Amino acid sequence: MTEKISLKQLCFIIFVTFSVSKFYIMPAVVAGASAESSPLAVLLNFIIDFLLLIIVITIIKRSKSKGFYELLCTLFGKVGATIIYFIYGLYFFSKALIPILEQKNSINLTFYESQPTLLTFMPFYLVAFYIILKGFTSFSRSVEITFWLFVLGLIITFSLSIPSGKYQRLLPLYTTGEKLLSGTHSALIWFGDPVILLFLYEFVENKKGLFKKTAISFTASAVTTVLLIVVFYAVFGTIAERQYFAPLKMSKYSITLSNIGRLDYMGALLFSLVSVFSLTLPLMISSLCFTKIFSFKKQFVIPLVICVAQGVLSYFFQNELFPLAEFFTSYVWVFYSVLCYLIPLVILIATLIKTRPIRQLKGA
Amino acid sequence: MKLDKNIENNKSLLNKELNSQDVIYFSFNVNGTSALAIYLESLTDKELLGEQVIKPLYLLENLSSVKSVTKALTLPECKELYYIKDCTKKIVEGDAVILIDGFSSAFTVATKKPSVRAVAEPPTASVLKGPREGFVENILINTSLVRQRLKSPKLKVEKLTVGKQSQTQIELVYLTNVANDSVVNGLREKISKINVDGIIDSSYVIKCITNRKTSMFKQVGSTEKPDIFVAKLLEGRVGVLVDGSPIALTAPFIMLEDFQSSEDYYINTHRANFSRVLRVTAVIISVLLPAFFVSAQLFHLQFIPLSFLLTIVSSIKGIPLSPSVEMFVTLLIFEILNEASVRMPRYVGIAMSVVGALVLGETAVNAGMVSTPTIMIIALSGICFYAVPDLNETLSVLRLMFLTVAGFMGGYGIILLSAGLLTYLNDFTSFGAPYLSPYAPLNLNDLGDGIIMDFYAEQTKRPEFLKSHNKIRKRFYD
Repeated sequence: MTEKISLKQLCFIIFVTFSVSKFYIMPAVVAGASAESSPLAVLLNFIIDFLLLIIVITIIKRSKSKGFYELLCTLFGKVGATIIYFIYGLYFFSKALIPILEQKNSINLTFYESQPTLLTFMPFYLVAFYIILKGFTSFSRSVEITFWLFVLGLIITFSLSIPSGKYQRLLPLYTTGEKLLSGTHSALIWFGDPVILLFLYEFVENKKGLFKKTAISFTASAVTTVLLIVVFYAVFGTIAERQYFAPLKMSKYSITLSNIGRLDYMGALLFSLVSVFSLTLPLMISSLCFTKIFSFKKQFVIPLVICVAQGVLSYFFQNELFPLAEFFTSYVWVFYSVLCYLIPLVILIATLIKTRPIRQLKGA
Repeated sequence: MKLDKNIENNKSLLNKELNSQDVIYFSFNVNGTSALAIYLESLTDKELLGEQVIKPLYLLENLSSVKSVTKALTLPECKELYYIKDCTKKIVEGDAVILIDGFSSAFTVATKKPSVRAVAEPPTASVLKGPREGFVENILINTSLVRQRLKSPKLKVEKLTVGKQSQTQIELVYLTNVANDSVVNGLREKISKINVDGIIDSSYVIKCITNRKTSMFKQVGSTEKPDIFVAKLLEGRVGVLVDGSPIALTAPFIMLEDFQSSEDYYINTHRANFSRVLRVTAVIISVLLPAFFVSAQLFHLQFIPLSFLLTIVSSIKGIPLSPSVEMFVTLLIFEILNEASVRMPRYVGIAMSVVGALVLGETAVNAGMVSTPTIMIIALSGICFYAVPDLNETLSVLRLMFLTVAGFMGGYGIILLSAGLLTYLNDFTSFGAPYLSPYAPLNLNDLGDGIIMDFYAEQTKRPEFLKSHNKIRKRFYD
C-alpha cells in the first residue's frame, strides 16, 4: 500500500509532536541556564527553527524529485545519498533516546511509586514497533485523533496552573545576552525538528499551501511551548530548575478542583498518550532511513532492530537521564546542529545551484 | 443432460436426480397427450398450480409446441427449459416444472410459496419514534420493503446465487447514480468468489467478504430495519440482502455508524446529539472503568479523591483477592450470567436475574468475597455496555484486554493499549473508507453526521469518504 499523508495531517504532526517532546525536562534545563529569560531563550530557539523550516520548505519546493533520497541521489550521487541517510538514521535513533528516558522517568514519577517501572515501560517498544510497521498513513491518522486529546491536556494543565503563577517572577524578561544564549544553547538538543519534514514530504499528497500551513502549525507549536515555559517559571520561580516534568508539576498546586480528585493527572495521562506517538516518530524516520539503505525481504526486521536497540539503550541508561542530558547539551549538540542546520543549508545551496535556470548564450 | 421427447425417460432421469419423497409427480392430460407436473410438496403453492397452470392446460385445444402452451397460461413467469439440470434447479427452488410427452423441452412456472414470518418490529432495533417495520427471512419481501421506500428507477438489484448446496439467493442493492462503482464492483467480485457449501445467514457473507477475517471489529454494516437500509443506500452505500436472513448488510462501514441510531434522525437534533454523546461516554465507561479502577487501586491511589478513597478502603478491608483478580472474577461471573440469561427460557431468566444479581451479588459482598465498589463498577460497566448494542461483542473482549493490562501494568498499560488500538483502527479500511472517518482523516463536511450532528437541513452533502458519484443530496432552494 502506498503511504499517504495529507497536508492537514502534516500540520497536526508538527503541532503535536514538536510541542509535546519539549514539555518534560527542557523547561527546567532552560530555567537553570536562563532563569527569568527562559521564555526568550526558547523563543530564540523557535526563531532559529523557523529559519530551518524556511530552508526545508524551499528545498521541498525547489526539488523536482519524488522524495528526499532521490533528491540526495541527484545532488550527491547514490553513495553520497546513502551516507547522508545512514547518518540521519543514526541521528534520529539517538535523538529518540533522551525524550524516551524523559517519558520513562515522568511515568515513574507520576504513575508509579513503588513498582519496577522499567518493566512497565518496556511494552512501549512493542507498541512503537507496531506503529512503525503500520506506517505513516496510520501514524498520521492517529496523530489527528490525539491532537484533540493533546488540546484537552493543554486546557487542563493551563487552566489548573495559570491561576497559581506569580508572573512578576518573569521580570525583567531580559537580563544579559549571555544568560539568554546559555538557555538557547542548553535547549538546542530538543530543537531542529523541521528537518523531519525532509523525510516526510514524499508521502504528502497535495503540497498546495505547504509553507503557509506548516508555518501556522509551527507557530502554534512555538506559542504553546513558550506559554508553557512562561507559566512554568511563573509557578516555580527560582526553584524551577529543579522541577523536572513540568506539565505534571505545575498544575498540581491548584486548589480549585482538588475536591474532585487529582484532575491534573488527567492532563498527565493525555500527554503520555500523545507522547507515545511523538516518541515513535524519530524511531519511524530512523527506520525509514535504514530501510532505504538496507533492503530486507521481511519488512519488520529494521523496525525490530531499532526498537530492540533503543530498548537496550534505555535499559542501560534508565537512571542516567540527567547526566545523559547534560552530556548531550555539552557535547552532542554540535553534531546535532550540523545535521539539523548545516546539512540542510548545504542541500539548499546545492538544490538552488542544480535547479537554477540555465540562460542560453547569445547566438547559440 | 438434455431432455428427451419421451416423458417416461425424463421422469426417471428427474427421479434419479431428485431422489426425495417430498417431490410430487402429478400426471394429467393436455389435449389427450400425457403431461407431468413436478414440484416440491413443501415449497409449492398447490392452489396456484392447480388453478393457474393445470386447469388451463386441461382446457387447451392447440398443442403445437411448448411455447404455445405457455401462452395459454395466465402466469407471467414461465420459462422454457431444455436440460435436466435446469429442471432440478427450478424444482428445488420451489417452482413447478411441466413436462409434456413428445416434446424435448419443459417449462417452469413460478409457483413457489415459502413460509414467511409477518413483518414486525425487530427486537434489536426498537424505536419510540419512526418506522417499526423490520426485515424478514424472505428476500422478496425484503426487496419489496426497500422498493416501497425507494421508488427510484435508479435503484438497481443484482441477483447472485451463492452456496454450492444451499444455492442461496443474494441481492446487491444500490442506487446507480449515487453508489461508488469501485465498491459495487468490489462487493460483487467478493460475493461471486464465495465458495462454500451453504449460506445460512448474512453473517456468513460478512465472514467471507471482509479483508481482515480475524478482526474483532465489524467491517460491514448490518441492520434489520428497511428505513436504515434505505437511508444508507441514499448516502451512497451498497446494500446486500441475503435470502433466509432478516439482517441486511451495507458497505462501506465506519465505526461511527454503531453510535448512530435511526431514531436520531426522527427526533429533535439537540436530544439526538445528547444521546450520541451519552453512547460514546457509555462505551468509554464500559471498557475503561473496570481497568482504571483496578489500576488506581493497585498503582495510583492518588488518582482517587480522598473521601472516595476512604470509602473504598473500608469496603475492601478483609477481601482475600487482589483488586485485579477480584475484578476479573466478578467480570467473569457477570459474563457467565449474561451468556446464560440470553440462552435460557424467558421464565427461567427472571429467576436467574434475581439469583444472579440479588442473591449472588449480595451474598458475595456479605461473605467478604468481593467488595461493594467492584460490584457497582461491574454493574455500571455492564449497563453502559448496552447503550450501543451493535458493539457488544467487541466491547466485551476489549474490556477484558484493558482489565488484564491494567492489572499487570497499571495506567501506562492502558495508555499503551489505547495507542496500539488507535493505530490498529487507523490502519483499517472498509471498502476504501477509513474506519475512523470522519475524525481520522478529519473531514469537516462529514462531521455534520458525527457525534455532534448538524440539523437535517444543513446536511446537504453526502459523506465524502463514500466517494459517491453525486455529492449533493439536498437542494432546498432549487
